[in-house]
Amino acid sequence: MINDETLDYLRIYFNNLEGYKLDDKEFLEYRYLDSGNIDSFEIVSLIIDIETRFDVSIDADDTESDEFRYIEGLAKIIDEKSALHKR
Amino acid sequence: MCDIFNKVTNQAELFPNKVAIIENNGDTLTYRQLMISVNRYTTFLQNKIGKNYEKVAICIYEGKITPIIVLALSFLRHTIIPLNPRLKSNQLKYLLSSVDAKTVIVDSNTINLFKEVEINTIKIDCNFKYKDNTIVRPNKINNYDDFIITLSSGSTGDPKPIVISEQVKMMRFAQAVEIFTVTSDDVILCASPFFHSLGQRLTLLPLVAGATLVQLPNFTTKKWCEMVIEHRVTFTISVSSHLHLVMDNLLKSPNDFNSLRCLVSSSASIDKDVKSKLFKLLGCEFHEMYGATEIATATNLNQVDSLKKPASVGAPCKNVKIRIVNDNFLDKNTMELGKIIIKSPLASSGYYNQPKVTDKFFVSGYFVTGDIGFLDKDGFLYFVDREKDIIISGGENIYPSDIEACINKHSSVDSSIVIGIDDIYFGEVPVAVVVAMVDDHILIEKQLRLFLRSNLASNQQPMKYFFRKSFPLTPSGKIDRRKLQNSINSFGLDLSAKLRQIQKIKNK
Repeated sequence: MINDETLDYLRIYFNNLEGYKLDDKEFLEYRYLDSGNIDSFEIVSLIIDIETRFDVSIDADDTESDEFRYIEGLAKIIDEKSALHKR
Repeated sequence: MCDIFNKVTNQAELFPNKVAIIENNGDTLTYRQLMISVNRYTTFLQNKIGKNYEKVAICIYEGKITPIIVLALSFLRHTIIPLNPRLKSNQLKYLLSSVDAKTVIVDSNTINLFKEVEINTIKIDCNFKYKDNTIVRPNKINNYDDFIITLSSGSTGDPKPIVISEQVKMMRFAQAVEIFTVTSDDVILCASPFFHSLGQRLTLLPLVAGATLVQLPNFTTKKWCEMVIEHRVTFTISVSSHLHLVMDNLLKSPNDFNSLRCLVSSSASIDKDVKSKLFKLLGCEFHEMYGATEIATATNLNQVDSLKKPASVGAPCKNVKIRIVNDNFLDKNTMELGKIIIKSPLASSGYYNQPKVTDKFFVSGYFVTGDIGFLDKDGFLYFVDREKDIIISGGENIYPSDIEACINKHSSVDSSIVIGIDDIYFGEVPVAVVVAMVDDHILIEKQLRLFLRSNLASNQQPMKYFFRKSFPLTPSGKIDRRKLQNSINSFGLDLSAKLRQIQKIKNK
């Protein structure tokens, strides 16, 4: 189960980038990194934003994983990291 | 001098069945199909806009539709104002008013950006189906003064709308044809957006020259390499951040890229060892150039000269005059540092509706670049530093004052400074240094990130925030940006490291 807060955050983030009006199922499966719609500034900005917002560190293992490439996987990475952090 | 529309029509008559445009997805248009599509859009836009000589903005995600719309607008004698579709609504609204645009052409992805803007909005279908027809050849039309207005950045505070006449645009194409020996046999890759002057040149130059345009609106290393190999690209001009990324692939398997006959780096210089390897392995000509949207290419450093003068940005192009002057516009001696000012027949006529700013930057026919450098005894130019605070990130100009104004709106921020720090991927990236009135810096940073994200474009987001009690000052009492910049650069932050990691995986 993905944390609502994480999902809301990602929904707002991606809806803010124009052209991402996707329904819930599409949204979770959306492979944003392969879409060609997100530019390199946005990728960097997204990573830094997640790190600041959730107080987590996204490392090479994360960016190299397939999970990182679609929204649901990214949400799981954030949730796992912040759970670890809270413990 | 022939106008752009007639020049492309001539090419269509010479090479009706030749491929004019290859899109990112592999779709193609021949010259005949291109001109028939242009005729169709000319009629469509004439009905929608009415009279000629209007200011018409274009805000669309690019593809073959971009040159079609541009040629149709140029035939109707409208001034074209290309906009960055990644900007926010409030930024676009401001830019439209700064150039008196009455009409904006949008697509399904960008239409919502203008829903709260009072403007004639024309929606076009980017996936239009080509319908055969006959080419309508217009009567001879005269060149017009305000062909295109390029906006220097996604600026909210100080947009500089650079006006280029059609004649100057044609002369700029002629310059590129001469320096880089472009012919109708070339296959030219455009990996820069149309709102950028480089994207304009690489989109229109192939069509004016009767060559083939290959479009890559969203750059990735993998896609760049695939497009060059698949379509046998012969020529392109790249921003240095792109070149830096593709260089490994070029050097690893040079045979795959042997169609390339000439590569040009448009901004920062490329390591001379890499250049000589490139030349040896690919047999590919390599140029570096220095210039600005206001004056086009001012210097050119070719393969031979770069071996003799690797640190130079090149010798002045034909009919271009370069002077190094002091604050009173008096000439400095050879090898002496000073302000770089440039006179060129390819210069813009100035900034739209901004006579004072135009007078400040165009002095006695010379454009004041805002750069510092020197000339050697052979007349080669050396770029040393930038005088203005502008940040150049991924080839795009970013004005710190726009970002600072946004940060300063936060109720707990006393003042802020945005500076560019060195980055191997982007060239430079913006970081913010903030003096806050309360101590909860983590909260302020979170709030600032949220606020800036909805008000500024992606390349204007500071990659890092630093909090300080005060700013260092220069002896004259100004904030010492250079000192802040040096101190942050000394941390050796590699802010694009994660992005490069992702790009590497993407290319596997």
